[in-house]
Amino acid sequence: MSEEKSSSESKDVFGDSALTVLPKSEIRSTLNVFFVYMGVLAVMAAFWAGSTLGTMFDATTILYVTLIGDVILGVFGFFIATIGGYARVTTYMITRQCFGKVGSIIANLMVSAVPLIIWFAVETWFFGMVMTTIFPDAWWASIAIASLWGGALMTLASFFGYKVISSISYITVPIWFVLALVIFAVVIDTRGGLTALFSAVPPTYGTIGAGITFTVGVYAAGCVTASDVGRYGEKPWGSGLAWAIQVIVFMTLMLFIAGSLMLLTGNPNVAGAMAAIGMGLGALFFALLAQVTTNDVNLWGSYLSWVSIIGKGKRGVWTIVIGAIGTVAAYLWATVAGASMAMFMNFGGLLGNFIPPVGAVMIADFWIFRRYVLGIKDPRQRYQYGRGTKYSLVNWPAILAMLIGGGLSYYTSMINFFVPVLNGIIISMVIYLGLAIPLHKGGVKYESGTWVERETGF
Amino acid sequence: MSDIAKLKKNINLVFLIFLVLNLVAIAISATGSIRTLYLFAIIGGMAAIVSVFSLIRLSLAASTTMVGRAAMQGLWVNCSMALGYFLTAPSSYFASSAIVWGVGFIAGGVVFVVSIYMLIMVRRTTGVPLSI
Repeated sequence: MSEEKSSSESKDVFGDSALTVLPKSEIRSTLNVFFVYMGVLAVMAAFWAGSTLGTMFDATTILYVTLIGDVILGVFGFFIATIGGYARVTTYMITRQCFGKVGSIIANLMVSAVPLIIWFAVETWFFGMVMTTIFPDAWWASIAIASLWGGALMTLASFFGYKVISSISYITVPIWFVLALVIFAVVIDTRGGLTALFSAVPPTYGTIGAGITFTVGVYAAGCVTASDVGRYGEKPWGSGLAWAIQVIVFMTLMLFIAGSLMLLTGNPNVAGAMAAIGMGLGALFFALLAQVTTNDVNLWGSYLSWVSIIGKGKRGVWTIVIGAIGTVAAYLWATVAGASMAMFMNFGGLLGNFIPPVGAVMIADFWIFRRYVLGIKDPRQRYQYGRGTKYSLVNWPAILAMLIGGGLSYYTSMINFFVPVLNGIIISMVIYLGLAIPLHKGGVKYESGTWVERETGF
Repeated sequence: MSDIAKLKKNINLVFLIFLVLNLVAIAISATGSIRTLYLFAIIGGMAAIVSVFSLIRLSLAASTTMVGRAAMQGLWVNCSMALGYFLTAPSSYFASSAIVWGVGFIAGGVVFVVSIYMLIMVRRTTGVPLSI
């Protein structure tokens, strides 16, 4: 909150405007942003996430749980993506404003730098799982080996940056969702129809709160980093809308389809179901595209975060290094865990607890504190960047809000109190505003240190 | 006639051809299994709707950029949907006659190849990036 007007524009030396304001020439249509978001959603992990819900709830409850979780994600991500649309910078640069220079490093390690590498590994492992289901006897399709070559392919797509990612999304996303709907219809048709689906019950029921937190958790990192893509949108509100529609409409649809497949067949592997009805090539293509369009964004988001933290290196180098780490992690995971889903379920739950509080502080700072306390009406003026801009090193209310909100969210998930993810979001906002507003009005210094932005944006 | 006017005319013709091809594929699939009819209705229907929508957008486009953007986005989606005819063909579930799948292959193949060609042409003529 201590930034001053920039003295001059910074130079983009890290690629994809990782540390600088996006130039006008790089602005894309709202449809482009929508397709990139949809490309992230078009992924096998979405089916596994939905299948987890299929082990906890019946079809009607799955619909309610996913809809509530996705509305939370949709509204939450709407405000975050729109910040990117106004500020035209990455998530890291936004957190630099509200958490301080050092605080933003902590926030980004929690949100994207580390989780997105883990997601990359998870998605690569999923790819191996799908390959081995489709081609059970092929050595090159074993979980471990397929993870290796699949990871390399996904790294390649990310190596070329946003332009290639969005082009791949344009060609893959429409047919991916059509095929998902087609396979859902086939399963319904061959497994007793809608009557069978809505009368199927899981072995044991889970709590609604746990289901909602899990739903939010599997896309929490994508939600809080929605600005990375949203900054490209020509209309700031358009980016937010693109995010909200893809989550509320299409993610709900995906999770419901996956949960339904689980209830009817006991197997969420949609590519496997396609292979079972003779669509071997289609299944392979489906699995490949699904993972590529998501994992390239995971890798790209992680690169944006790491280059912002370290302040050295270029996109190509970072994507190769991060891709190699993620691929090896997937290989090791495959050799140790095989096809076990336990780690995935725990991972999704943890992300749902600790990542949303970071976004809650971002929203509270941009949409409430700067607008109503600092009185900056024009959203484009709320965050300023460029050489010579001064930031605090640590914004203590923001750090405290993030950590306490995450901790309380985790604790309430342990004792099954209300909806843990919402608990974390609300507590974080209340703590941040409850500390920052009175301290600011009382003239009390609540930020430590100063960091001056260099010509490179670091 | 300027390059842009010529391009706009060609793109309009391309979307019209796409529309006709997909509608023919749907009509022919009615002679096969009901499952194939549903499948072609989804794939071809989506492509046909996008083609019509693209034609309307092109007619309203007032600048080179708007022409390029409408053409690019319509071509990308058509290109994507065309893949559906090939990916679903080997499935025993959608068993249908060779004629039905032959028409599907022709429609999908033409749309895919022409879309790729036109994407490059639109990029060259309008300067609108492929990743618009």
